[in-house]
Order: sequence, then C-alpha cells, then structure tokens
Amino acid sequence: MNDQWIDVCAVGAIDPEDVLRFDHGAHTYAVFRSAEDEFFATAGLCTHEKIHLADGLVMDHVIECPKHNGRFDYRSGKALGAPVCVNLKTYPVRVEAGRVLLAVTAER
Amino acid sequence: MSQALIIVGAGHAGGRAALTLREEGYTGRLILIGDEAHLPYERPPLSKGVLQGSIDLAGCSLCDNARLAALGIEHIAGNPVSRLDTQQHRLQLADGQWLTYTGLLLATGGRARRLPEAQAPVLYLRTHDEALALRDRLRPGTRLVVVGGGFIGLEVAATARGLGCEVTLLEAGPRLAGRVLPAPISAALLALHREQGVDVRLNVAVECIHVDAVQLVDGQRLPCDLVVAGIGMQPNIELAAAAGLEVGQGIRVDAQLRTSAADIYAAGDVCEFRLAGVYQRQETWRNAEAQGRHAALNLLGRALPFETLPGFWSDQYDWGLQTVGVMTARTVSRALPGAGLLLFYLDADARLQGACGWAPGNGAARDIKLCERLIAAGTVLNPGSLADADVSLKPLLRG
Repeated sequence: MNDQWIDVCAVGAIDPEDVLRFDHGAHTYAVFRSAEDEFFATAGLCTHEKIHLADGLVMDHVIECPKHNGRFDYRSGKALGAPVCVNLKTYPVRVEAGRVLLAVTAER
Repeated sequence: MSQALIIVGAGHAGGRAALTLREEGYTGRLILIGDEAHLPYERPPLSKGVLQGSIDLAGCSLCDNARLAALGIEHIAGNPVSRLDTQQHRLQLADGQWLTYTGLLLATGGRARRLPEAQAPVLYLRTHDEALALRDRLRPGTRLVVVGGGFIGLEVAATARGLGCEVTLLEAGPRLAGRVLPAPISAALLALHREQGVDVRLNVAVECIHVDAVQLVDGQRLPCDLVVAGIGMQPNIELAAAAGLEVGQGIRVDAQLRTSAADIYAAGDVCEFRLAGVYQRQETWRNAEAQGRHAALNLLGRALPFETLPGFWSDQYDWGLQTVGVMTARTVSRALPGAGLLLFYLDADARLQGACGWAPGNGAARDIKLCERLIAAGTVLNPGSLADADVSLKPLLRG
C-alpha cells in the first residue's frame, strides 16, 4: 500500500483527550489525541449529516457529534448507536520528531 | 392472535421507534403508517439545506427503502388512519381495512398553524413537500414577508437572504423567539438578521394578507411577492381525542409515555408529557429522537420512566444556537470565541440547570455537551469559574 504521510501539526497542538480538524486537498479529517497520548485519525465528517466532528466533544475514546449526539469510538471508527449507524473511516497516524503524521491514501 | 405493533405517524419519532423495535430484537409484525408519501425523515434540514437545494430528501431520511424492507417494516403511505377503536384494539384505514394491534404508538406530529388573517395564498413550512414548494418561489429579488419571529421564521429568513431575496420579518412580540430564548440571545439574533439585511419589525400585528401586500394593524402596507408564516404547530390529536384518549395540548402520557389506554403510547411533537411537573410538548429533533426510541422500548415491556433534558439548536447564516436544560433566574454569562456567548442557568445552590450557547458555526456545541453532563452530575459550581472564558469546563466535570 502506498501510504502518503502528510504533516498535520506539532504534537502539542492537540491537547490530550481532544481533537483537531485537519483539511487536506478536498478532504477533511479529525485527528485525535487520547488521554494516554496515543494519536488516531478518522474521516472529518459525521456519517449522519456531514457535520464536522472536530466541533464535538471527546470523552475517553468517544467523539460525540456536535449536532445530533451521534457517537463514535475514534480508535476504530465504530458507530456507537442511533442516530449514527455507519462507521467512520480511520487512517493511520504516527508521531515522528514531535510531529503528527497522517497517511491519507490508506483506508482500513 | 399473532402479534402486531403498529406505529401511526412515519415522521422522525415514528421512524426512530420502528428502527429501534427491530434493533431491540422484536421480530413480530411491524407496521408504520404515514400521511406523507415519503420514508421517515428528519425535519431540521427543511428550513436550511433542503430550502437551499444542498440537501435532498435522501439526505434527511432515517433509512432507505432497502433497509426498511430488510428489517421487515411494513410502510403504509397514502392510506391514513381514519378511526381508532381502543376497545377492540384495532384501527381503520381510509380504504376501510381494519388492522388489529397488540401495541400501538401514536406519533402523529402536527401541522403548521394557519394564519387566520390570510385572504391570499400563504406558504408554510412543516413538511418536505412544503419546503420544496417554498424553494421554488425563493428567487433572487423576491420580496418575501415572513410572519413569525420564531425559529422557523428566522431560519427561513436567513436561508431566503442567502438566496438573494428581500426579506421583511414580522414578530408580534417584543423580541425574537421570546418564548424560549433569553433576552441577550434574542438581541444577538436581532442584530445578526438586521446586519444581514432583513427588515425585522417587532411588536407588529398583521391585519390582512393580500395577494400583493401584507396589511399591518397600524395601517402600514408592505408590498411583497410571497408570504411565509411560521406561527407554530397544531398537534394532530384528533384521532386520539375521537378515540377517547386523554388529550390536553397534545396526547397526554404518563412517565412511561403511555396514554390513558394501557397498550397505546405517544411520542414526538404530539406527545404531552410532564416535565418538572408541568404538562408540555417538546417540538424538537432531540425529543423526537429520544421519545421515539423510548416508546419503542416500552412497547416491548421495559416499563422505563422517560427522563430527559430538553434541548434544541438552530442554525442561521453562519451562526449556531444550542441549548440544554431549563432557564432559571440565576444567570452567569461567559464570552465564546468569535463574539459568541454562553449563558449558564444555576439553581440557588449553584448547580447547573440549563445553558444556552450562541457562536459562529458549531462553536458552542462542545460547551453545551459539557453543560449537559454538568447538569446530570449535579455538581456545585463556582460562578466565577463559569464566567471566566479561560476556565475549561471539562475539568469542572471531573472535579
């Protein structure tokens, strides 16, 4: 797989247990930092009504959509019940020299 | 007799109930009856994306036909219920056929309240088809008069401005959305609409709607091409009332959303339930979602009390409003980024009871979600911390 690693931000730009919106080309992503300092990334828009998830609330490993309270586990992208039923796509993330990198071509 | 659960009303609440029944493992016959030709859909996009043309019906539907079929949900459209017989546990459709139920959910919603002063065509916005009819009339330069400064009127005004219409908005009261919003947010809404070029007039009463103008009681005549009224919702209680169910301003239910008939529940806009001891209806997305789901669980015998925090949102231009809980007299206010505002409502012990946020985009959403959790947690809060925009709310929750 030809992952293209894109520089997102400095590690410190995302607080623990928080999320950052990241736009790249025509795509938008949500990049998460867990309370345990692990990084994850998902598609940026809620699968319910295409709202930017990064305006929502992160609690533990769950992102709650700002509008309809649809909830996803951001580590797996799994939708956690109505009103959302379609999972989020997730993307590989790695940290290198204090920078957060996102692989934008890969989907899993 | 074989088991059949019937849902009357295929809007958001009814649709959510049907889907929930299947998710919860109900395998018996399941019938969803609606007035409209469409699959169940959510209404918030009607006054925004649907009116703009950026969202179609599929984009606001709860599910598609394939999913409905796969779940074995029988959807009856265009054959409305004409009669409910609670003694025989059956209902009759317009074509004469009778259907017998073992459990029934009434999610009949409401219709747009009509303007009594209309002597010429007035458009309303409650259904998808009404939104399409309105969309066809909103052209650049169209002179639109909106009657009603509540959320439907305000959102229609905002969308119409975006489409290039000339908009005048008439509100009978002294401020916008005054029944449900605190004064500072009403004032912010008024300033935004005026800044966007809407001619907002407060404390005005309509005398008569003519084909080419709206006549005000004070004698003014407002020439226009189109009139839209957003003056509230009339709950569809007639079927329930005729069947002898207890009704007030809606179909009355107990703490489990059960009507005065033991095997009949009500949910959504039509449901009149007690909140803090007072009978009321909640005409919101949040309530349709929560009650639709809850009634489904109780149709399956769970006997769960319905406990809720009310809440709603509204999007106008690039701004968003979001509320949770109830307003009290003890208010603390904090600034949000981008000239936004977050109002906290406390009880006498400084426990949070409600919050109302106003900010660009969805900028208030995160704080409102935290407020919802702070209300549920019953934490005693320091008003000084709440007022300080540099104090994050999340640590307050974790104490």
